[in-house]
Amino acid sequence: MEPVKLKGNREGLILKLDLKTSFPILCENIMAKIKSADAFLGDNREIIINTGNHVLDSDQIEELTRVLQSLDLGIKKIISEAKEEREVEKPINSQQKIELEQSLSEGSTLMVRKNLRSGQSVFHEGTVIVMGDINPGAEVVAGGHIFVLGHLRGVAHAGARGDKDAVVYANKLQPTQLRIANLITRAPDDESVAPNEPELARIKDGMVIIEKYSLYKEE
Amino acid sequence: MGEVIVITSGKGGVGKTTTTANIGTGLAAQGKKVVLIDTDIGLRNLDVVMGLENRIVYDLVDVTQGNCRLKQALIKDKRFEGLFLLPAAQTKDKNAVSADDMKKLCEELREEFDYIIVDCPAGIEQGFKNAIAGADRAIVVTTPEVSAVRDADRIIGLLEANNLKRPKLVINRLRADMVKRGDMMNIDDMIDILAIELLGVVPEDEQIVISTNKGEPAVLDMNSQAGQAYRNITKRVMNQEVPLLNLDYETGIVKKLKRLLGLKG
Repeated sequence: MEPVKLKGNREGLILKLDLKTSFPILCENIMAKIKSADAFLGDNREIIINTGNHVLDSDQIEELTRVLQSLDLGIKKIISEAKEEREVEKPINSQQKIELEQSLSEGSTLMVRKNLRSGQSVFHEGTVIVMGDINPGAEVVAGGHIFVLGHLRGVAHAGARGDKDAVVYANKLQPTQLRIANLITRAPDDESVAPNEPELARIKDGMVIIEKYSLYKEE
Repeated sequence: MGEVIVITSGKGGVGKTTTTANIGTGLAAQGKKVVLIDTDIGLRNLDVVMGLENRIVYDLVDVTQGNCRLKQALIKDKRFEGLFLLPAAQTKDKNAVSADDMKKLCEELREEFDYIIVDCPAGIEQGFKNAIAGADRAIVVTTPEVSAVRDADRIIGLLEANNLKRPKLVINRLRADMVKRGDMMNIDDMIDILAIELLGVVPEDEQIVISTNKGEPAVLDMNSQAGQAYRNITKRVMNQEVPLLNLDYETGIVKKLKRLLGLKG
């Protein structure tokens, strides 16, 4: 395959990179590709980088940013289709918004097989399953549903793009804050009863309700 | 025009956040309009100590990056009308805030509040530089330990180099009984080394642990000795003259009396 491909979809322009090519050669190819497609780019100066089955390290991200900057381009986000879950360290340049996604399709599911601790966050367009706990100070933001097969004590935002049908399930649902679509809720200040069975939060009649999962019925 | 006061220490764990929460709450209890800013990005705590963690939607980084308006990020306290918190970001890049951003922010808040209390992160890196950038005054917190006093001395030097002249000192977690036995540095030893004005001495007090965990500042607890110390410090911040707590006396006769009367020492 070509080392660099430029495609467009409704999200914007995507630069697909084949990381089997050595990185310096890849950068040269990017330069050539962008220059030949400059008319195609027009006013759209923010592009999405797709790294296929590979994940860029922070040095590569930095280099890539530099190359694109010389072409007057910015990175909208970096996505990869890597099957295994990896963490991308945020690079020093805070301008870059980098999200790790498993794939492009909206319905995809991200599996997080660890505890999310304070300061850690997961962003994903589709549904997120956490096999572990989400501690206070950690957050999960999902376009779809959030399932926590552990203790949810941090912040969870399901349906972050506005999907009011999104739900949050947790074996122990005790969030600092719970958000579904554009609604934000928190527990009352004087209440700290630990739930003893799995619960499900969803929007019903314009309000976030929490119910025992065992009592949940399809509507 | 409000006043910007930074609470700093150099060393971690000496009680910057506790001091910020208590002075801020104390000032609000005196009817002042106060905003607390947590500048410890990535290791925020002030929201937890204030019991406001679950109200956070936007934070300091959102404000400086223009993701929201300043007003939207200010969290109103549960207890006082005039008390607000601007929380630090927990999951964002800590280099997202610059000293210039902080200066601008402090200038903006100055218009509306009487006091802007800035909780500084430990260390002397960028976070420290940001925290002091917009400040008019500084309060240095230390504990009666050689290491904490050493770091406080370093910090005072840096503050003076940054035109924050005459910072004031809070000595935290003093144990009068240990000082008496000669097992702990006494107040005079510390003043001797640091050569700055003493703003107050806060005794070691179990109530602080309890109140910190509950998210209710001890300054509001009339039975807590540390609370009393913070009430006095608050008044001194407002330039009122208040004599120092006589801790020695307090641990002796008064404590026994209070116990007899069924009050907590």
